[in-house]
Amino acid sequence: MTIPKGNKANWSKGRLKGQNRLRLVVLGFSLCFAIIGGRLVELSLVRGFLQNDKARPTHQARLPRPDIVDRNGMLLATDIKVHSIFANPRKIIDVDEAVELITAVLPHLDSGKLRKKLSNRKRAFRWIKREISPTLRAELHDLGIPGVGFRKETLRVYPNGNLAAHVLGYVDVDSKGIAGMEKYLDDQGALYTASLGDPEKNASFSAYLSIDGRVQHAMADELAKAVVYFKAKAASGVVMNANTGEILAMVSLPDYNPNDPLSAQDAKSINRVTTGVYELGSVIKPVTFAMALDTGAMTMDSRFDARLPLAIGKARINDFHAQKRILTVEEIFTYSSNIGTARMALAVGIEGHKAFLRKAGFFDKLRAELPEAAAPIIPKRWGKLTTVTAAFGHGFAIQPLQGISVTAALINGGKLIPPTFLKRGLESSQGLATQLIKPTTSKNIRDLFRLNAVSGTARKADKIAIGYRIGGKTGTAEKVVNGRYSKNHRLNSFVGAFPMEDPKYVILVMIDEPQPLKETHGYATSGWNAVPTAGKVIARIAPLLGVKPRFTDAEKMRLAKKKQVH
Amino acid sequence: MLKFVNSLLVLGLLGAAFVVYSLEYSIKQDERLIAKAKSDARQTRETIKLLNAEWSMLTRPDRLQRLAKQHLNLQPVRADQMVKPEVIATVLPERPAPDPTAIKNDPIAKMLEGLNK
Repeated sequence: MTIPKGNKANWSKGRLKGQNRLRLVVLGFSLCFAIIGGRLVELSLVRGFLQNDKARPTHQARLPRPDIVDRNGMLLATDIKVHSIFANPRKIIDVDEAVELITAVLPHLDSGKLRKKLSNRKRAFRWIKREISPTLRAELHDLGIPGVGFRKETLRVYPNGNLAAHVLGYVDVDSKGIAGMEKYLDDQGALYTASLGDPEKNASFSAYLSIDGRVQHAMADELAKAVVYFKAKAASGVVMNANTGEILAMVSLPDYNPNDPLSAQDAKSINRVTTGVYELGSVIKPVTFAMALDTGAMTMDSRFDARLPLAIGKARINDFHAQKRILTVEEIFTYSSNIGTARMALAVGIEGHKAFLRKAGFFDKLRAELPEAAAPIIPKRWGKLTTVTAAFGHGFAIQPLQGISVTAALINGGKLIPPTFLKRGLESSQGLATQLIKPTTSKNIRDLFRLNAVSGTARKADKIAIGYRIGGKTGTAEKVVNGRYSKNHRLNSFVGAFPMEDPKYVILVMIDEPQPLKETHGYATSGWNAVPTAGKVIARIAPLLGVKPRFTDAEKMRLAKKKQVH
Repeated sequence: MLKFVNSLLVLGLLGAAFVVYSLEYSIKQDERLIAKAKSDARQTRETIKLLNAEWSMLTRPDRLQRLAKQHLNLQPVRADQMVKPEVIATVLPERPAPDPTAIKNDPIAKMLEGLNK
């Protein structure tokens, strides 16, 4: 700095002026730096060490779809990363060499088409093959072909194929659930998905279903055999825990492979257990029995006149196994008498009947987790004839799932528990339960179920699943074809439970239009197809579910005879 | 005096710049390590998921049933074959006494002997 000499007063005055300005600037800057410094100290020292409020990176990655596993942890649906290869034809130097190298690793590719793809220099991006395995990717990568690149994609896979397809549903190409539990999980929102997962680890936990993969497979396998053997159109089946409402297996055939969602579009492969509503027929009769017993309209010692068909207006109600005499309650159950059951409902009265069916939930749409649920079809006018037909399961259509969950209530001590496809404990299910009938009535229904398996229409199941003390009710419902009930189009069903003295599991088997066979002596009623199928299923799943067999002396004798034959 | 202070400040600035630079460098190194570890972990997790999917595809019930039918001489368990653990001793047949001739003709033993030679 050069200071002009002389004129001291002027100089000192000028210096003073400059100094003041400088001081102002210094003050301004110091203030700024002091603020910044103070903030730094506050953020790093005060908050960081004293208040322990450490800054951490926020988690921004999208939560992955949770895996879906069965109740024992068997993997049913998972996300895997797959690699897709693409090419940029403009960057490919030697097309022939590239084609040769790629087809050497992927021999299924058509080399002519590939050559055409790679020769087109107008395009800068062509897929060569989507979704290849990591080993193939590594092989191709090591070849180092210029102009060939890889992209990572997320793919939802269902390693068990068709198993439990109707429960799982499927996802679209953007990995969004559009059916079944996949859709349910999406509809619950990100919060629910996050609750399954651990955000710190960027990994989600699995969604546990109530389904037991082994039981599901046994049911699907036996139903598939039955469809072939009885030349049926379709079949469906459910196994449910009687005390928790958990569904261990739900099968509907024909089914589809969720890995190929297009196969699910076929109208034949709808879920017959929840998406379809049916007149279930005689398997609804136990509901009428329970109602009549519970309201005191009859006792187990009551008798009903089944000598003549029941005439309501112009309609006449007949029996399939007509006995033409006065029947006891037990006989009405084992002969599956329409007349007797109708008289029970009339003894309760139209309003009482309606009130009981409403309490059982038959008038409302049952909605477990699956989004595919159909509303029941209930006649608008409910007269005497409606009550009479509804008593034996005709004139109103419900989801088979509703049928089995009410049956569970009839035999488990009277507790109606909403069914679920998610794993659930005994305590939480007891909290959801409503008392439908008295425990003593439930005991009577259990006895009737067992009686029907020992000496009634469900005998064949008890013979096949020997030792597991099963019980149940059969149903052979005539289907409506062109507006009329058809004698040759049947929907056969069996609803049962085991072990009958303390039912743990309820089972429903339905076979759609089974044909009469030589082996069934020309019969096609439920006792000849649905019942033995259910018996085979129970014989397979009871050991898996830990139900111990127990034999009566007569059964031991029969087993001994069988052994001698072998 | 002012010159001395200024040169001290310049030296200090240089020193601070060096410290900051080396810190940043080592942090970058650490970040690279972290990123690599993270990507390794992700890769491993993806591999685990893939192997899990493959395992459950290979052990799916219908495949096991088919393979068991094809290759194993086994039958499904019948209800009357199940016994309680308390009575197992009375139900099981006596173990047959070892047959000395069977030991001589044991093919596996022969193979083992062949290996020793």
